[in-house]
Amino acid sequence: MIKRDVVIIGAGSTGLAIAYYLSKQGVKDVTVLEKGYVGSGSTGRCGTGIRAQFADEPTIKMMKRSEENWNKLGEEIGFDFRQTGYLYLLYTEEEIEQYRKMKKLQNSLGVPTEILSPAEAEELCNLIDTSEVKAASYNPEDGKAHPFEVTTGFKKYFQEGEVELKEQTEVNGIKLENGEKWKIVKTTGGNYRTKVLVNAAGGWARNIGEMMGLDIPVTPYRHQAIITEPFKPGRVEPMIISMRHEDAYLTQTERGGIIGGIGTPEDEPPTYEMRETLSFEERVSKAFSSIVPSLKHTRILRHWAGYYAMSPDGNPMLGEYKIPDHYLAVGFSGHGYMMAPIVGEGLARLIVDRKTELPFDYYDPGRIDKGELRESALQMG
Amino acid sequence: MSREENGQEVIVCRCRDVTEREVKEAIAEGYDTMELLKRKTMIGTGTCGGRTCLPIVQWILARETGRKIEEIRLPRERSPIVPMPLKFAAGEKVGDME
Ligand SMILES: Cc1cc2nc3c(=O)[nH]c(=O)nc-3n(C[C@H](O)[C@H](O)[C@H](O)COP(=O)(O)OP(=O)(O)OC[C@H]3O[C@@H](n4cnc5c(N)ncnc54)[C@H](O)[C@@H]3O)c2cc1C
Ligand code: FES
Repeated sequence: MIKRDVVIIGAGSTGLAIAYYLSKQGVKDVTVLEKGYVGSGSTGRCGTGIRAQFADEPTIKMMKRSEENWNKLGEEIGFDFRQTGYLYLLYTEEEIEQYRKMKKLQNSLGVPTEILSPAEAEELCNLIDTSEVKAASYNPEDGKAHPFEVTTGFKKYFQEGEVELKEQTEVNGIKLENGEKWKIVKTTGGNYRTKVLVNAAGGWARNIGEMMGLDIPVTPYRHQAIITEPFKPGRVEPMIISMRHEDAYLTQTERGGIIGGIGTPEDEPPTYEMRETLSFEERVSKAFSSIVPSLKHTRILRHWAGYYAMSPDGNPMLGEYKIPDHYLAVGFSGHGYMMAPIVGEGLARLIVDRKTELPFDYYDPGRIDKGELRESALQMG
Repeated sequence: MSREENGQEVIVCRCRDVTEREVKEAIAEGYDTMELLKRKTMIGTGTCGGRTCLPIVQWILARETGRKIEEIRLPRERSPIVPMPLKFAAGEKVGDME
């Protein structure tokens, strides 16, 4: 039996960031258990986007702080957080009205979003077809970071520090002992005994809960993305979002390919299936070549699927849940990657100091059982 | 003397311009599965879909880590099987080409 102070299940962006900030807080015995390799869940499959353009105050506050953390983390563990902005293309008066309201709230919380004219949007990326665009919402502090660089950056950082990262180690049972004080975590690489247990298992969060007799209401929905062959980098710098095209989002990576995706049809049921579908290729291609017409001639190189792990209200569930020292950091829907640095910092504070100045009350998992659902966070991009 | 020691760089992935030395360095740094090597060095992500380089890298990885070649799993094949222009995927016919 291996004894640790904290065991975290899942080495996606969430689990890795929690481990990082726990070690910053001086917690020494931290182990992260991962059934595959770092980032092999949804993190390595995500669209790379990081934004503070949301419609509700808690998420804007969290993301403002998260972007600050992305910057510091990039310097410390060695990856690029490229603040090339998020550009929402607006096609109707109603959309403009909605984004103006959001801009006001965002500005009041220190996020410098602006509403741009079509000509100004074109200055940011002259490949966009702006003929029907009426305005655009733009926050220059939003951006992108490559999940492979981020996850392997954490891995290297941990190799030199005290966090233990166990890849290819699957959790297959959890037992509670001595009241509920000790959690015995059974894995394919031996058994761990810990007081603090963190469930950061993404789309698999419910399975981990079942091992402890808990029903954690997180459901995996398949979302897909593509990457095209590379062309000259710098042509599509912002993350471009269009509501007119089924919530399509796209941007160019540092290596020059276009990465992006499109919303999943609302009638597609939840699934653990990670296969890509041909109908997606058709829909995404139509959308992308309508937003950026010159992409018509660009070739799709790869196409993959991952999960949006959905909570009942589309907001994450963060904090202690039902058993003392058992924490959840799950249910991130389409924005768990961008939130990871602030979720990591906040949860580490909760675990060590039992409090945080961040709006974690809003995300308290207990809200679901009490029926106090929040308004769904803006899901696009 | 190997070609490397001889001062020559050996390209293993010609689509993404990756050398044998880069692959070996990545393996030494701990990127020791085909999935990790693919993401680290970009081998197998070019327009040929890895048909040329994956078997070579599989062999290098086996040799460098003392494993049998059968033990080394190739990255999963993803759609599309050959690179496809967006406009074809979008349903435009070949005849529509300007
Ligand atoms: C196509 C697509 C595009 C997206 N785009 C964006 C975006 O642009 N920006 C953004 O912020 N978010 C985006 N997301 C969402 C984002 O990917 C997720 O919210 C985020 O990655 C969640 O991270 P995580 O660490 O919580 O979960 P994951 O990355 O899924 O990590 C959970 C880990 O737990 C491990 N695990 C599960 N069960 C066990 C077990 N029994 N034992 C051991 N380990 C276990 C898994 O292997 C996995 O690695 C996108 C998602 C998809 C699918
Ligand atoms: S040679 Fe490596 S992808 Fe073509």
